Parts: sequence; C-alpha cells; structure tokens
Amino acid sequence: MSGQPFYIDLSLSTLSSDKSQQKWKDILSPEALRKLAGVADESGFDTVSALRFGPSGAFDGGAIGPEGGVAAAYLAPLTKSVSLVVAVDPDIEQPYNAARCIASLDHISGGRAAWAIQFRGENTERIAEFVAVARDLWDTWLDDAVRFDKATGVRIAPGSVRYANHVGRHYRVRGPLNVSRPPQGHIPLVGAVSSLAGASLAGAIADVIIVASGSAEETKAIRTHFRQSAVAAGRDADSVAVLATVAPIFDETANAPADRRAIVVSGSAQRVSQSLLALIDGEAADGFSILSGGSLSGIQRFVDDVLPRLPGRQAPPAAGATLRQRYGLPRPADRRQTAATEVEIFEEL
Amino acid sequence: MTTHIHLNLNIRVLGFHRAGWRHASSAPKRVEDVSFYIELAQLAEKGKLDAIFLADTPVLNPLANSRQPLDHALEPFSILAAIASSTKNIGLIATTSTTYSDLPVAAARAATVDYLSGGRAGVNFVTNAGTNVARNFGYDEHPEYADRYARAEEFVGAMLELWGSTVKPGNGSSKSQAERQVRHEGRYFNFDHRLDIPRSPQDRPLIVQAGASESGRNFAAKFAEVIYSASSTVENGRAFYNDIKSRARGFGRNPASVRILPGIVPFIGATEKEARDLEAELESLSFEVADPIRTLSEKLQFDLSAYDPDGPLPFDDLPNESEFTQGVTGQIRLVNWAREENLSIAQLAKVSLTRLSGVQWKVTGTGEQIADKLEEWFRAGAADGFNVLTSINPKGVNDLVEQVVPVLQKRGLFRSDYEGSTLRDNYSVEPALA
Repeated sequence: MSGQPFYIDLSLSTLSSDKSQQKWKDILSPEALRKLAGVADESGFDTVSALRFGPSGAFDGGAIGPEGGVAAAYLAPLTKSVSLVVAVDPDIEQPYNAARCIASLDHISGGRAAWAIQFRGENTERIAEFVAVARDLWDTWLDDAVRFDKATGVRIAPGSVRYANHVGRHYRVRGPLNVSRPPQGHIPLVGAVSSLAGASLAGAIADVIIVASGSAEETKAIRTHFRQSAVAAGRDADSVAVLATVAPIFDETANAPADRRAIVVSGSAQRVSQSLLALIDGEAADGFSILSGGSLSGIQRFVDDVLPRLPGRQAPPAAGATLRQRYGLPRPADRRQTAATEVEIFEEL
Repeated sequence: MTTHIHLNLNIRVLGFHRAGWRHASSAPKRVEDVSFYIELAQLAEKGKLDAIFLADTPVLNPLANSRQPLDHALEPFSILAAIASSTKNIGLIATTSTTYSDLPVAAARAATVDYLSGGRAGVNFVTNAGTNVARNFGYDEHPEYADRYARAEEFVGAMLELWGSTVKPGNGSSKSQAERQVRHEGRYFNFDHRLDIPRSPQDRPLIVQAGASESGRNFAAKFAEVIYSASSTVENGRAFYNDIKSRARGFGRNPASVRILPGIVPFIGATEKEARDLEAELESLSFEVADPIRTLSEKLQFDLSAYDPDGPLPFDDLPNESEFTQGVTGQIRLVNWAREENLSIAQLAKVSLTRLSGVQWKVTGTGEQIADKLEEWFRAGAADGFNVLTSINPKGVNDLVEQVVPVLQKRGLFRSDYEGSTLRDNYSVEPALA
C-alpha cells in the first residue's frame, strides 16, 4: 500500500491524562460519539478506531470511554463508508469469543470491520496462534453456505461447514464458528505498535500498524523494521501500511505539549498539513491516525482546512466498499479447494 | 403483583416454530441482517413493550430439526448496540454465558450498551451446557452441574463489582482510578481490573435469569430483577411465582422488585379460524426427523434405543438432575411432560420436536382471546408479565403489536406510553444498590 494514496484514521481516544479523565465533559457522550463518527464518515476518513486494551491503558493512557466493539456496532448502522477498528486483547479474551464478535461487526457493517491487537514483543507465539485460530474459525464456513431455501427445506448447503479442530500449544478450539463467513473473508488486522520489538510479529501477520510514538524518528524506525519483518515473512512490503499517530493542534502561539503516544503537529492549517506531508515524504508513515481528543471542533477544523491540502489522500470511500477494497487487499478465498478427506465436515444430526 | 402487565419480545429471526422460517411471510435469509433486528425492535417499541430479549449460546449446535443453524449467530451485545441508536425507550436484554464469556470483556460490553442506550440494558446470565460448546473453549467435557452454578454465582458477583467501577459523572464526587480498581480473588476468577467506562443513567444493567432447577431458582431469587419461567399452566405458573417470590424474600429482597415473566408462544389471527390455520400451516411445513428417539436420547443424554418405544420412560434409570451436563431446564421439562401426561417414549419423542423449542405455553386465537389468557394468568398471580416468543417473523411481532397490545391497553392492563427512559423505569423495579 506504500507509495500509493495514503490512509487516514480518526482515533476516538479521548484526553487521557489522570487529571483530565476526572472531568465529565471530557468524556464522549453518545451524541458526541455519533457526531465524530459522522464527520469521519462524510469527509473520507478510511477508519475510525477505538484502541483501548484493558485498564492498563498502555496504549491510550487509561482514557474513559465506551468499550470499542460495542461502540463500533452502535456506529455501524449510522455510517455508510468509514470502517471501524476494534481492539481485541488476547490477555483477557478467548479466540472463539473474539472471532465471533469481530465477524459479527463485519456482518453488521457490511464489511467495514477491522480488529486491532497490541504488539509489544511479548507473548508473540500465543498472539500468533490467537490470530491463526480466529482466521481459521472464519474459514469454517464456505462463502455460499447459508441457503434457507423455503421450497426444499435446505438450511445450510451440505458439506459447506467444517470443524476447525485447532489443537495448538495455547488453544484448543473445535468450532465451527456460529456466524457465517464474514463479508471480508479474513477481517483486516491492525497492529497497535509502540516499539521495534512489537513490529516484528506485526510484520508477519498484520495488514496495517498504527504506531503510538511521539517521535517521527522512532515512527520511521518502526516502519522500516515492520516492512523488513513483512518481507522476511514472505510478504510484499508495499502490501502493508504504517499509520503514524498524530495530534493536530491549531494554535499558532501556544507551546505544543509533548505527548509520548502521538506526534504533535501544531500551528496553522498550512503548517499542520506540511508537517503531515513531511512524514509521508520522509518515509516515516503511509498515513495517519488522527487523535480527536473527543473534540468535534478540532476535527472539523482538520477536515475543513487540512484535508484539502493533502493531495495524496485516498478519494473518499464509496458507500458499500469493504475495508479490504479500500486498502487494496485481495479477499482470501474460502476453503472450497481443501480436499474433503482432510477436514471433518459438520453435518445434520 | 405489579400494576400492569410487562411484555418482552424474545427475538429469534427464524421464529420459534421449527418451520417458521419456511412460511411465505418469513425472511430467513435475513438471519444475519442486523437491520431486520432493528425493524423488529422498532415494531416492539411502537407497541410500548418493555424490552427485547436475545438468547445466546457460543456454539453451532448439530443441526437437529428442532433447532436452526444461525439462531445465535451475530454476537448479541453487538445487535443491541446497533438497535440502541435507532430506538429510544425499549429495553435491550442479551444473554451472556457464565461458563464461557470472558468476564471483564462481557462486563465492559454490557456496561457500554447500558451507557450508549441511556440506561436500557439488561443481562441474562446462563450457565452453558454440553460438550460441543466446551470444545470451543479448550475443554473436553462440560463442567459438572453443581460446579457450573457455583461459578455462575461468582461470575455475577464479580460482574456487579466491575459495574461498580464505572465512572460517575460530576466533579469532585468521582473516584480516582485507584479507588475504582477491583481486585477479585475467587475460586474461579482472579483479576485486578476496572471499567474505564462512563456510568449509565440506571447505574448498571438489570440482571435477568431463567432457571427451573433448585440451584437455578436460588440463583434467580438471589440476583435477578427479571426472571423468565417455562410455566405451562396457571397452577404451575402460580407455584413457581410464589416459590421465587418467597425465596427472594428469604434473601432479604423486596419481592416486588423481582418480575416474573413466563414464556408464551402465541398464534394470532383476525379470527380464531385464521389463527388455527396458521398453526396448521406451520405444522404442515415441518419436515420429518429421521429418528426422533435418537434425537430425544441426545436431549436426555441417555440412550433409549433399547427400550420399548410404546412403553414409558425408564424414569429410574435416567441421569438425575446433578448428573446432567447439558441444559438442565430442558431435561426437567421433558421428564415432567412424560410423567404428567403419561407419554410413551415415542410420544415424548414426537412432542419434544413439535412443542416449540421446548416451550412451555402456546395460545392460539384472536387478540381478544390471547389477551384473555394473559389477563387470567396475571390476575391469578402466576405472572407479572410475559416473554413473548413469536412463531414467525415479522408477522408474529406485527400481530402482537396490532392485535394483542391494543386490547390489553383498552383493559387498562398495559401502558399506553413509556413511564420513563430506562429499563428500570419500564419494569418499575427499585434502583440498584450503590
């Protein structure tokens, strides 16, 4: 995806310091959440993301807000184009439950779901197995399995659902999933990465990473390592993309506060857009995750004054396009070709 | 007894009649289409119903003819969230497994539905059953029955602790992160966690439960604010009602804050003949089960193939309540049918397929006739309201709202508008303890 038009995500993460989280006005109301997502949907953001990984707040600083998966399902019927990125935490979730939730969101949104996992360079074997199990569960159904033919009484096409029968070091999951194959086949995986160590596994299995770093240099180093890891895993480096987390501040005078999780770009709209383009030109990023801070006016300013100055940006997604189509990722075929003798078929009792 | 009837709509897209999906008016291909759920919920809200309800189980069961694949497809709290933004008053209840849900995640998801809906969420807690579901979560066998309820009790208690850690609005009164942190060390769950989620207007979701066994009844009476029952007559309905309310009193609770809703499957017609024709039509669309006794054996976890099909159930040989590893409620119901109605094995096998998903209480007739039955149960002290399981969708929901609800309203037995904005308001139950 690199070298092509670049990608923009809107982060729903609110203000996150310990001081500010006590103020109720900083907390996203349902109405503010709907409005933010509406702006993202109408102005051509590719995704909105709610990246909260448990209460440790390692990625978002322990901000107050709704659980991401439910918030995304709440927003899905209210939006048409923008995709929804949901955090999954293998430390506290089982793969069957996670695979089902994300597949449900993909059905509910018509193929606009993505899932995000935090890659910290720890538990890499378990995380890789977790992701493999989820993808295998999505493949327990063939694409055209669901029939419900009133005339014949056939509900599921015979032979079209199989057991996963996964037996690994960390998980044993039989399946099948109780949701049919999601519209995107395999739902795009976003890596939440804030270190070089995290970029290694992400390079092998993630489609996109969102880098949480306050430094353009570090973001660039992570991008380089991520792309190398992708190549080492037999993938095309240009098939993956890196989004830098950016906090735009439209204030010509104030000293922009440093933030360890986002690159702060401040000044006039022109300066902000120049800073963003410099990150692309400097090969630090292929796109951006814009921190909203829960501020509708800030995002509106970004949309009105900065977006038009970013010529490399993707055209707004067409209604009905899946995130895979948006990212230019091919849709993985179902397991139709797997020889029937190699799988255990799920049948009528 | 409550001052008026409470009504829940139990949504199953394919309908609760096993051939409901084959009816000309049904839309089975929309089984995973969330907009269909939204339409049904909006219809129910038009009828001023208390809540919609979604059953759930995290497994694809083998496709017995009495069950439909994809009955529990989309994850239910996701469905509720999608419905929340296009409804205003109707309650949103979904089921979570105390055996297999990931506790902190389940707590966060339910609290978020409650917050985003303005305080309209409820959670139905079930203990899950069967080896099929166990194998999706790394187990070969399902946890023993007694173990399952002990775990369920700890699960609900821990979820209440986590819901208590959500963030209250207002300056000064709110607690710090450290004060909100929940350290739970129990027999089944250990965690150090808090929910960084804003608190809903009703503080926390309502607790809903259904359970017919001894442990299930105690569990329900101790925790639940809304209880579903599978009563089939006014008499056994009243017995269950009185039993639960007295158990609730025994746990120090106000019995008026425990709402008991038996399940009902109505077949509704503009005339009685039309209703009977609908029921007959659905029966004619049902297809044969190859070996009903084998299916019954699966349900009872006991091989009946060696017994005389025209003889009685071998009651003394059947596993007793504590030995069942599958859903106990369904097995108790089957055994009770056989005993109370003197059914042979073959008869029970047939009845277990034709009675709607193991339900309970079926009423066929006009809106007036169905309202008569609801009123009878309500006035007899057998119910605070009803959990309505429609045989077909969307027709069944339409008929309920157009033909039954107006009659109840005219009789002063059902609200003509919502009393408030939260699910707690709809059921008129006391505020949660802080």
